[in-house]
Amino acid sequence: MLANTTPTDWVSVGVFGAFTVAVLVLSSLLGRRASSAKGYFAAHGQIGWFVNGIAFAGDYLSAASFLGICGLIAFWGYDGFLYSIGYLAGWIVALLVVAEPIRRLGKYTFADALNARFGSRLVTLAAAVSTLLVSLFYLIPQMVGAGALIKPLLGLPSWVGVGLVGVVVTVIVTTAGMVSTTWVQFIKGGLLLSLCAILAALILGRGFEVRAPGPAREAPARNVGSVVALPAWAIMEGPPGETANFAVDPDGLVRTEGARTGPLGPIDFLRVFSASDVAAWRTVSAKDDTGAVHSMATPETIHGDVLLQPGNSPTFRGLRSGSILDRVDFVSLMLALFLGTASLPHILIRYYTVSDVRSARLSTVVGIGAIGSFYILTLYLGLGAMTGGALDTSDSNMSAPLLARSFGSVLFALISSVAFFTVLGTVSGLVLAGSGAVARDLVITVLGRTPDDHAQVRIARIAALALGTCAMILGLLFKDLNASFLVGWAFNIAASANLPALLMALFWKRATKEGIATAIIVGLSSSLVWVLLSKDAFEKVYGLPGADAWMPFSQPALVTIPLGAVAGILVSLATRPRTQQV
Amino acid sequence: MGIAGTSTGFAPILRTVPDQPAARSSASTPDRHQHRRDWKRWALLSLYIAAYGGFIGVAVTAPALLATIVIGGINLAVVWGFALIVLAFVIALAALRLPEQG
Repeated sequence: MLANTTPTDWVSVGVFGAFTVAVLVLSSLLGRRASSAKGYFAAHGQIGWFVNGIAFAGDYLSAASFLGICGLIAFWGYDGFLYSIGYLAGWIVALLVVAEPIRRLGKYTFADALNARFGSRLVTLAAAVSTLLVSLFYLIPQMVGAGALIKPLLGLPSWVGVGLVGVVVTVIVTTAGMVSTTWVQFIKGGLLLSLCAILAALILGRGFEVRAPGPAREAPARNVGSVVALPAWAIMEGPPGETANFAVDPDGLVRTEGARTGPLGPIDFLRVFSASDVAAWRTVSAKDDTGAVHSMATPETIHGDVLLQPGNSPTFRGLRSGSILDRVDFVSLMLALFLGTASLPHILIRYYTVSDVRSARLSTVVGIGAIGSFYILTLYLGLGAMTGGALDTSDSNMSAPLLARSFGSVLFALISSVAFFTVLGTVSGLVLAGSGAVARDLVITVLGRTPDDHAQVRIARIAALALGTCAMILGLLFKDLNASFLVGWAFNIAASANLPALLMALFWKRATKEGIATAIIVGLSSSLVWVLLSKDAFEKVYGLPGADAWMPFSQPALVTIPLGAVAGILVSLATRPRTQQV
Repeated sequence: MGIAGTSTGFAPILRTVPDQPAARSSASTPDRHQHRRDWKRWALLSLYIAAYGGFIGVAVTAPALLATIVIGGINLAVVWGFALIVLAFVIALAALRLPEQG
């Protein structure tokens, strides 16, 4: 295991420790403002729009975005960037459709806005269960990311990372609520953007160099990934001290080791990559006679232009296979990413932290600018990791931190600490959303008890503790899966469970409480069952043959979003009060 | 879309929220303004859906087209992907000029 071979890097330990202490001190100081329910759940609605906008980025740019997408691009090229495109697209739906009504109608939780017209216990119960399940599904990849980070950062096993995040987040959320969570997100979002911009600039400054990919080796293999041939026109200089005089092969490519491009601009970087041959690493696993599983990592030379098209990864390979179901699976995932953002409870409750509708809109625009800038950078970070000789074939989630390590231990320590901070921030937001659903929706509305303000906060803190514990356990169970892949599932479930109900509640006069609750229950249960019985779950979670899966494709949104909507509409029409039947 | 149109039953119900008295001051003018501003909002959303849906459609039906080099030696997949990200920000800026929803 890597954890046993990585020596402790004391610079990393120092930076990491400083970040963690800073977060805890900040939480402690801001905790005084969170004694009331409005302070704990909504930061008194006094967060400025710019701070909230960057905090949106902090909430949204989770382990999936930073670790997961960079890892997918580093191994499969453009396929990881598809997630960047889809994640950002979802913000248009949030901005143009739900941001303003949510701010106007809601108070503390997702259910508040959904139930503003109805005051129904049934709707609140359905929304609370949906919030809890979606938050839990979204928590899993964050914990997986935390476990992946702690290995190269501190040389410790992944369970330590998961445990550390669980403990620190629980302290943050239980002590200070939305005020500290917002400021943690703001600082983290700003730091993540700044450091990724620096990392991208360093990648462009380094350019490409021809290196032998090395032999196939038993996985996990580290420090691999290279450009094996560059187009002759791109060669700008030789190795230090040598004259640039490289042999050009008949196909116009230079394969002499040490040939390098020198610094490249953003467009030239992509152009040169596109015209180069790249060693992309593939891992094959097989059982021996004793049943032991052996994994072999092998370099496969692929032309850059192919890597900059969709369809290389197992998830999206169907785009080139000609299989209709594989293409439907792709469309379904992209639909889930587009509609999922506006359905994520931990994103929606951030609209309650600003003072008015205009601030909600302004903060969304700031968020889109920050998040979009980051997603453009992900392509450069991923391709830089793929070609920079800093991959770990056993864990795609480690690509970005290991890329930073190739530029020195200080940058590695900073990037890893900010990435860990990223996980902390996102998990804090998710735990807060989930604890709010328990304290406000389940206890007050469903159980019919109305504890005083301080008791509500106390219940929410206990719920945060329980959620944090669940997230730690699940993070360990799913630790071998790519973070962004897991978030794809969370988006499917969120979009199926929440979006039809939200649109009906906000825009359809004939919607009834029974219809809204039905839309949530049908969307939630159908998408959950679909995901758990899908080919991806069989292969990647249960370790069973994908052919045994019950569902025809893995991403359910294309079926389960309309299913929830139709069920909600039919039940609304059937339960309409007679006075409305014109 | 049908969501914003009143005739289909998908009226923007937020018009009746008490903190929006201007929306109730007149029977016809607010509806006209409502319709116009909703038209712009849905037009922006439709524009993005067309760009995003078009990308997905090409990826599914004619993936080879995405390999076409279009600008500066960069293929259509990358250019379209970047364009979608930039377009999202442009639409967000344009949305700042819209009147408040509902």
